[in-house]
Amino acid sequence: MECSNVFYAGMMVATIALVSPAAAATTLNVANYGVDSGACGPVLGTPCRSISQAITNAMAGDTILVGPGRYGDLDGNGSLGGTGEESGATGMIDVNKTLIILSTMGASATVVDYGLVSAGFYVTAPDVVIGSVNKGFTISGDSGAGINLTGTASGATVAGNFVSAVQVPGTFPIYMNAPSAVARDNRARGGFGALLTKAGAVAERNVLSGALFGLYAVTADGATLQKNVAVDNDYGSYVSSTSAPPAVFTRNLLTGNHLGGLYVLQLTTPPALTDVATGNNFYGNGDYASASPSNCGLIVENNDGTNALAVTADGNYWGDVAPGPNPADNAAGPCNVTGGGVENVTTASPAAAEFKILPKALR
Amino acid sequence: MKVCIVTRNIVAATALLGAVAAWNSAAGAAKLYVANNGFDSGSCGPIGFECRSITGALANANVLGGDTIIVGPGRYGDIDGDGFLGGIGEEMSGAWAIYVSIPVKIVSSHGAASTIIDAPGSFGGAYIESGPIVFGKASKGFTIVNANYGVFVSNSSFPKVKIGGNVILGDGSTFGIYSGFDGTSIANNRVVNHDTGIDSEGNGNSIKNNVATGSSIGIYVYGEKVKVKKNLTILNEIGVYIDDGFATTNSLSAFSGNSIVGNLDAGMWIEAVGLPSGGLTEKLKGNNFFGNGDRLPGPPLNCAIITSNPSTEPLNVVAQNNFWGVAAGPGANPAYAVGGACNLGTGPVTIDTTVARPTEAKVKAKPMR
Repeated sequence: MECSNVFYAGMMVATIALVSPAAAATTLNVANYGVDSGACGPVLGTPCRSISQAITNAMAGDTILVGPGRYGDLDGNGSLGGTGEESGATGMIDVNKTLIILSTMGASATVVDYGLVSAGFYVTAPDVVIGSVNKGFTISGDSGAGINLTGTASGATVAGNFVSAVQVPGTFPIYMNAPSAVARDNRARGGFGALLTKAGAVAERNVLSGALFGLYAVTADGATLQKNVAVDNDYGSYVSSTSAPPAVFTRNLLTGNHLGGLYVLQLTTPPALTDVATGNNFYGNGDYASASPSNCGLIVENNDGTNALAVTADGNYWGDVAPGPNPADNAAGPCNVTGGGVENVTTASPAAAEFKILPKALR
Repeated sequence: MKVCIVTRNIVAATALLGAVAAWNSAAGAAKLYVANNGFDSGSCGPIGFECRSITGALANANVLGGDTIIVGPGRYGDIDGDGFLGGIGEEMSGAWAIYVSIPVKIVSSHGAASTIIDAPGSFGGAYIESGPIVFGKASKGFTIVNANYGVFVSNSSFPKVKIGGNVILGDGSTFGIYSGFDGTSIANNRVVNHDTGIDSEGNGNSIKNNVATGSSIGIYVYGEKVKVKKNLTILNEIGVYIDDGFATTNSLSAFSGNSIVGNLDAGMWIEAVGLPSGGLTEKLKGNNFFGNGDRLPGPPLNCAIITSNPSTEPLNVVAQNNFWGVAAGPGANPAYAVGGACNLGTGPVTIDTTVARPTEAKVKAKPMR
């Protein structure tokens, strides 16, 4: 028997020696019936209880699969770190390794409830993936950000998630401060901005609602903002570029936003910067009695007294044959807000019919 | 510019007359369209002359039934944001934002995520008092916000009412979807943050493929022979509440393929006040019960099912082929329990879990726009 054990031990060492150099990616499992330990995750029958423990046990390049149920403050005592609970130091779940984190049953079935913690997922590693179509998470909380991609989380992708937050200053369901990050096929509701993006970001096919700004492209230089739906926000979208290339804003549907559709703001303008918004639907915006200006699909404000701000808004659908009063949405003229600079807005070749822009169906 | 608008209006008016004539002459069912760039009028509805409100389209629909109202993306209800309904282009003021009293189908063109019914100051989003009626379907439903009740199907009996594909966001009070009808179908909805997510109080109702989260009770069943299949209840205080109070026969005709996971206080609660002579038997098959009852202090903790039978007649629960968190069946963490401390009543209760499902049942919500 002892000889046998020595033999098996020798085999195990040899096996590890063979496996280690390859450093093959591992899949770790998390479930509501799991138990956290230093070894949980890699075997299907021994899942971790918390996503945080699986991250601790994972190596860069691994995939974490999260089963249906609830993750976070399990015992409801208002603090984290108890048995099986998430245990991030900054957010509820700190993602500090390059990992792919997916749910097995989709966002509807997989709830990350981060309460008053500063973030649900707080991502500092590059190239992290959180969710994909039909493999995302429901992430809800009362403060901060549901998903916070910090400045070091370059190349991150968030997809297939349902993220919500209360609409107060400083809250963002999805906060993408990372360079070259991608947000795709998410539903984000509430917050100051439902989806905040910065330079070089890609935001596509998201549905953004119930926020002060639906798609909030703060430094939109080189951003690709396309095929999103923004509805029931104060403003459907906000775009502010500071240097070339400007944002490309195309094939988006902005409708039913209270104070306006797309708000383009220039605080300081380099010369010859032109934001492009084409192929979008703008209608049903700015109908609140408090909207000023009202009925605007596109609002442009230039605060730079030296350089003009140009917005090429050709080829969009405005709710009628051309921008104007109801039932169309308006643009230019009364929809330019003078901030001290000159706004040059073109709305040539308006589309005769609505562009078909459908969000993707998600679990 | 004014000349262009006048010309356009003349052309539009001429076209409208033609369209209305064609529409009225059609003997069959008509389609009426509603859009955020529409206008309410006595003849709105045809393509190019969309109504602004769903209420406006209902007023123009055939009272005898058969019409379909197709609602475009955007926001309906309190358009001017004054906190009330009834203004130009808004849904109706009074108790209910949308009052459906004729047989009709009402669906969205872009799905719930893109089609918002904002109904502040009302008793509820939609009130159903006729049949057959369809209010939303998978990927063609509505998101209802700021309403007291989401969708209320009245206590009268009309045939074939189907509530589907809707997202109903609440504030923790009242119901997401309530049905007092018999034979109501409630399918593919997502109800979030209510007192009761789905409240089914009719006989023979079908509750299928719904997701209920964030409520005191995810799904409440009070009635007879109700089918509950393939639903997800997560993050509620109680995932599913079966009220056998004063029942003459089973509340459930089927309870299968559901995932009842991650609910704070318990997965399921079966309350058996006033059982009939001889008691009754409820059958639960092929469901997931795990991750429930982790919240302190618990009613007790770690219960997949809480039973409460204060009557003297027996409550029997046959719960075979369910997954309880581990292959061996219900028990202590990481499994979830039934009976023992999870039985709160004084009356006779039997729970048969002799055959347990060894692995988790794959329960997936239907993808929806």
